[in-house]
Amino acid sequence: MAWNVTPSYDEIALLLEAGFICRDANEFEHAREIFEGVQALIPQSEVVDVALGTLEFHQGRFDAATRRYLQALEKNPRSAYAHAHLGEVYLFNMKQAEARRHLRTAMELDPRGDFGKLARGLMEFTNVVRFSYEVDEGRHGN
Amino acid sequence: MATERTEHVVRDYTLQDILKTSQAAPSSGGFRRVLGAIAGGAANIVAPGVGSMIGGLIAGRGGTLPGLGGEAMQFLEFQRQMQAEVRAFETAVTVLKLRHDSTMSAIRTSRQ
Repeated sequence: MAWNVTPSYDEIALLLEAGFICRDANEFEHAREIFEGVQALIPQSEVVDVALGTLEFHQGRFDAATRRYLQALEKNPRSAYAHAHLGEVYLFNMKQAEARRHLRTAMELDPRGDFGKLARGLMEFTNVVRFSYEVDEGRHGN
Repeated sequence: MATERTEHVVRDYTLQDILKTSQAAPSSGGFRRVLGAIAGGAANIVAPGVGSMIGGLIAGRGGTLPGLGGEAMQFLEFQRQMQAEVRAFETAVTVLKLRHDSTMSAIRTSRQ
């Protein structure tokens, strides 16, 4: 039997918020279940792909997170949200050049919005983490 | 007597001893270890794996720059590391807040 469900935008927002709360409470399976449900309701939206990517990211699965973000960018190449988080996962996966490229793109796409601000914050964090790498490398070389 | 005293001093503190003393790696203090663990934990909130890197930097694993020697240089190095870690910690906190704002914005975007 096929279901024809047409959720309201408020219901989608509520479900997404519930998913993010589960994610932040480390209830990853519950969060995945919710996000996949929302994805079935709004398959055209890249937001859910990014949400699923952050779920992988929170569990340290950087490659899986990267795949999710790339899927999101296939749906919407101009998604500052996806670019910012793709930059983030590259940053923590030690891929500085790619990280900076996507963070810059996010800043260009959403210069005054929250996604652009996140990208700027992560760019600043990139500088700090790069410094840490340099210090560690210096030590190892000694 | 003076000669004996000089010989005594030379016998007790050779150049090797002085060199070893000036180049000895600093041992991490308890405070720095704790602070390193805290900052590492904070970074782990942002992303797993990064915490050990930042925590290790604060905790002073790996010693200091060789050849510079002396407590003054060690303290300067500690100070530089501490400042870098404070900056890293503050940036990590900022990123956490921005991530939250970004999440809320994504939820709002899905309404449109």
